[in-house]
Amino acid sequence: MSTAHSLTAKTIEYDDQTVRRFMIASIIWGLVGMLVGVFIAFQLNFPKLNLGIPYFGFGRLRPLHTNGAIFAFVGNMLFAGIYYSTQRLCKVRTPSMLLSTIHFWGWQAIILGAALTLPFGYTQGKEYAELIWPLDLAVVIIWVVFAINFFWTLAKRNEPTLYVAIWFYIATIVTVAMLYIVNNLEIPTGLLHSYTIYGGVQDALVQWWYGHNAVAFFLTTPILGIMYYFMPKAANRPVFSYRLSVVHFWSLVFIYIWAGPHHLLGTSLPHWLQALGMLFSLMLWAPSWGGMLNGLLTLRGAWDRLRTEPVLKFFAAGVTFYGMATFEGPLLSIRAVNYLSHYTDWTIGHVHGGTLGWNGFMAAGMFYFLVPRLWKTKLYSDAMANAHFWIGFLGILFYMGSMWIGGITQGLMLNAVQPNGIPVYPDFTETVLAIKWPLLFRSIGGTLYLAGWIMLMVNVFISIKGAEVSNGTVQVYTEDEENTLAAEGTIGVFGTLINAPFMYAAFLTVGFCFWMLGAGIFSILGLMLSITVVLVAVVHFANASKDFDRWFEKLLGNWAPFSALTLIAVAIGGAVQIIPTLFVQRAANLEDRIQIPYTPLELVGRDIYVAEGCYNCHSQQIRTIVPDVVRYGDYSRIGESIYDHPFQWGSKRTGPDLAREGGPISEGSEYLRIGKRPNEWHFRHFSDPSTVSPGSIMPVYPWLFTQKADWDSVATRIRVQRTLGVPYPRMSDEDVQSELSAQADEIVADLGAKLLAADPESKVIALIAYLQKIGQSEDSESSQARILKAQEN
Amino acid sequence: MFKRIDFNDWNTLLIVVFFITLWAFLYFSWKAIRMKSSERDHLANLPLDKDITDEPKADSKL
Repeated sequence: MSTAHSLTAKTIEYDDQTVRRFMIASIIWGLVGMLVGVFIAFQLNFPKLNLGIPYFGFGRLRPLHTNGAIFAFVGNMLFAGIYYSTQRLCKVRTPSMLLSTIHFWGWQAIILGAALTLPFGYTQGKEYAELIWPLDLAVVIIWVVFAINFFWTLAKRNEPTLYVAIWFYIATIVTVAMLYIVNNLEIPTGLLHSYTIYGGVQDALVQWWYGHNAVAFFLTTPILGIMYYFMPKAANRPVFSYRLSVVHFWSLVFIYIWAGPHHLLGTSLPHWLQALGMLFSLMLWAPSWGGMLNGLLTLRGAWDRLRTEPVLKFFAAGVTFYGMATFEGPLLSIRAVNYLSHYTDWTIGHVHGGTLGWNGFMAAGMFYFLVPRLWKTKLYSDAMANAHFWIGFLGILFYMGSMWIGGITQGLMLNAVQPNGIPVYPDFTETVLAIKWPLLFRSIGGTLYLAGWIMLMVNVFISIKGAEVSNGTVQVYTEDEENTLAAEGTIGVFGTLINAPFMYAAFLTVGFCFWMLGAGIFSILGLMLSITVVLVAVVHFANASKDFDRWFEKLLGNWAPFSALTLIAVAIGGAVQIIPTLFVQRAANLEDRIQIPYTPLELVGRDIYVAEGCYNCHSQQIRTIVPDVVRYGDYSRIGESIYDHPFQWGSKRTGPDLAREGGPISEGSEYLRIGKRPNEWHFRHFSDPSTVSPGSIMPVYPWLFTQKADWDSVATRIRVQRTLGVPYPRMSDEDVQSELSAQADEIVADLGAKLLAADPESKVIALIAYLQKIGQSEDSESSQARILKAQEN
Repeated sequence: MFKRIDFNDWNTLLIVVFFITLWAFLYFSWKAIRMKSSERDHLANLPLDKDITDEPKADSKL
């Protein structure tokens, strides 16, 4: 930096108003999300708690709970933490109050939109991505507003270096944008409904790539950034090892994104992808624990203060729960363990260990830290904050302990098979009844945690009531009025990309691609290019290693190229996994079975299945393990759900798997299918499950009998399905209506023979039609004929 | 120009991607470990810089 420049001192007042807003929003939405969680948890013991009202059903409220906890509670908390720490680490005020305001109110409007649509059954039917397409669009817009505001802050900063917390925030912003956009590509069929562009195995893979990395890059990396800022701040000592924090960052960026397929072990996802998911999950053990230890050891010499200071207490416990959750996660991704744990409450316990312990406790610690700093006041009661800690801690222990017991118990019971190939516990309900006490203790644990959160709420609101707000200020020295960083020592995006290390990597990638994918001469040229690039790079590096060092150091101080390269690092893992599945849809033969497309009535029924959130309790995927096959039937094939937009493989079996629920068309009928159970059974089951399945904890669905199914939009929906590649013949609106009536009449007539009366247009008839179709496929020859016929039309 | 990518042997590309990714990761980690002490200390102490108004209010343990 030139010595000719003179330094000017100026005082900067931070925008802490935005921080206060997000903090209060997080506290309030946290309460709402937890309340809904406790309510639906008790419904599993007392199914009648849904009061027979559609908006209170487990299937509809569970998405509200999960989205509320993730995007409303943790989302607002991480925004508060990012706005507070980024300004201070960059020694600059957030440049646009307007963008901050749009960000805050836009995000709250999205949450309100979710709260007003999910209970009404407006959903995409993909876990943690249930929001309907207009809200998805709003999320993307508001996220871009946030990104502009954040990166603008970095561009205006008065601190030349970027602290590692900022790196974690950058990774969060670019990766969440990528995940959210890719997973939510969809075609609308109306204002409130759409079909995802992915089908079957594609959708499963993309969804769990998103779902897993929502945990990684929404619930983990930003909170790690918060940990790396607030823990040293609260302990008043620097992070234990800054070097380790950098390795922690790069490890997560390079590894985390690959681990998504561990959610699909034993399914019809190709085995190489399952193995990849498991391998990368196991690799996560090391960086996660490195990060946890780095956080805990930051408290070295300050452990005694844990006795008296609630902030440190929450942070220490939060980071410990991060360690526990990241130990358990890879453990659950080991194939043998996963076969026991998957679809059971063990996974639910694991998830809540992370959310309540890691996210919730870090949020509480941060809020208690911020109150005296954002308002001219002191915390109303340290004793109440301490009591919050212990009651919350007890709640988590209750929750996780009971879910371990319940999950392992049910997993063992479901997997127990006699030597003659018959399940030891053939009745699924028996395995649910066996865990009713763990389920109840889980609800009590959740209630305790909620009570702790209410204490925080009371404590914070009494503290700030009538208190004057306080915005942090700092004095900085800049070279001129315009600031900011000197031009020398920085590189732009162009400078990063047109640079030796990057160019070598790019040419090497091109060479490898030609070598592997090219035919004949192109393959040979690709090989030669690869070898040449490696040799030139080695020679260049040997002679000019300082150039490489300089490039790297400049990169770390420049947010734009740094962000671009972070995006490339995380995108590689997703691309390698997802691109191959794009070819599956076009394949002529998938394990010799191709799904038969749904009739119009079955499609209507499927949309009701999705809207009611049945996937929250029922899977449609029989794994390649003996207990699954002997209990539910032949294992699921990749082609059997290939036309399902969205896929409905599920992730939890509170009820049994439904992949083989359907059956063939009855003799003498045009549409009537009878699967595992007759139509009459399904009819009675929806009316009152306990009459046909004693002990069942499935709630009643009286509205299915009185509400009419949406027959009007089916033609449009079929047209969209056709666009997505489902081989429907071209059908006029009249054709669709006539097929709907014909199939509904057949089911009503079948029920009438058992003295059961139903309206053909009621939801229950469409739902029965769908259930009787699940899992029905045909051979590839018939499928080809169907595709040709559809193409001719 | 290109042959059709066969779904079943796509995983051969993984090896390539794996090594490129591994190289990048090892390079970044190596650079982190070799970070100069002065730079490390400066960065590690950044969160400890105080606002003028940073101190919590009197008699608060927070």
